[in-house]
Amino acid sequence: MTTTMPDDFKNQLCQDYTSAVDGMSLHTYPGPGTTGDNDSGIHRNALVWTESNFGVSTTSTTFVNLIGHYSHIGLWEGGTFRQGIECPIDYDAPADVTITVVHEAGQE
Amino acid sequence: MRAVAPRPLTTPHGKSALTKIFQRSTATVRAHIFDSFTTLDNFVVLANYLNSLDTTGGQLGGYGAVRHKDQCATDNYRVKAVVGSAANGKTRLVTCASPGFDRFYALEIENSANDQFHIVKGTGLSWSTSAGIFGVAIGLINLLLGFFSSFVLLIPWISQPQAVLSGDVVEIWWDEPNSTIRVYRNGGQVTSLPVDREEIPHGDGYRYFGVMQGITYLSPGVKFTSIEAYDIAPADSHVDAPYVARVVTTIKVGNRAAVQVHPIARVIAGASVTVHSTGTALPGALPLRLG
Repeated sequence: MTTTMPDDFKNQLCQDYTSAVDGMSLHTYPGPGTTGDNDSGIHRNALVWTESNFGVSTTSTTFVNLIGHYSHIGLWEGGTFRQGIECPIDYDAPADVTITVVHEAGQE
Repeated sequence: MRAVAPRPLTTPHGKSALTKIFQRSTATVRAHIFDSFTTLDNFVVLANYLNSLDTTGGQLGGYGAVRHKDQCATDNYRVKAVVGSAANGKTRLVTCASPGFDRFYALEIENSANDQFHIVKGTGLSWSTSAGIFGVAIGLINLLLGFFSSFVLLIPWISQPQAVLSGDVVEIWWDEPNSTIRVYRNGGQVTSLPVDREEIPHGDGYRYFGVMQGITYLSPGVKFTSIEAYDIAPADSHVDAPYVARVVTTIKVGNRAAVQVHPIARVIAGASVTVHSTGTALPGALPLRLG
């Protein structure tokens, strides 16, 4: 099927999402559900998104000297939970762990 | 008057297309693992001949093999170490390893009258770790007594004259996109070796790294003061919905087109892509070949 959605509308849809996500948390198994459960207690990192391009925007953040076992990341807007993404992270010794989230809006 | 049976209900059907509007989020992980050999707490000791391994002076010495407890997040990672003292002998910097080091690639640093960098492979080992050459009870002595010959393919596959000095940074990288082992001294590539992508296992569980120290008995070899491993590309995505990798393009003025690759897309050299431009410089679709 031919995509008929103009890029500026993809960008608008993408930015609607990214404007509502400004923080990342780490969650232990079984993950955050729809309310942000099983938060690891590790300080949430602030997120800054790139400008949407062709409906795609990215953000990266690094958890420094991270130790432990986590099953999901959580995405937040302030204190409001927005979404969890499965993302297994397992470190027995300290590691700097950089997590990149890519968001894409479009038509298929 | 007669009754007329109602018309049967039928599913409406037409020619309209079903369109899907999607929003997708993906998360990828990169790790940077570092250890300065103040202790061996962050390592699993696989062999320790006569309990000789030590971290005296902040460098790994003795005769044995250690691997870090953790792995990188991707297959495409580099392992780097800093040289402390550099006595005669051989030391291996290991990457792409199985938990027991029965499969691996390594940079072997030979410090001798003929200083060399060797790339070696551990590809033909068939014994288990517990009963094998790297079992702690048996340890490196088997290796030192010549059982190394049992390593079917544990021979230098390529060698290059190269000396090292204290403070040098040495590095090994299985360049995953090109399936080539590359070794470096102070950031400059010393030699490389293309390898069959399938000759040793890769993926989660086969991304361990570490050191085989003092390979030649009574010749301690190069000692490292630190080791680190770091992913150089995002891991495979963990996706909240099926994801289709794509290439994002940015068209510059004139006849030059810059291709900005999506962060999780894989680019294969020589692959063809079509750039769809909405700009005025290169309107329409433009086929490109990636170098």
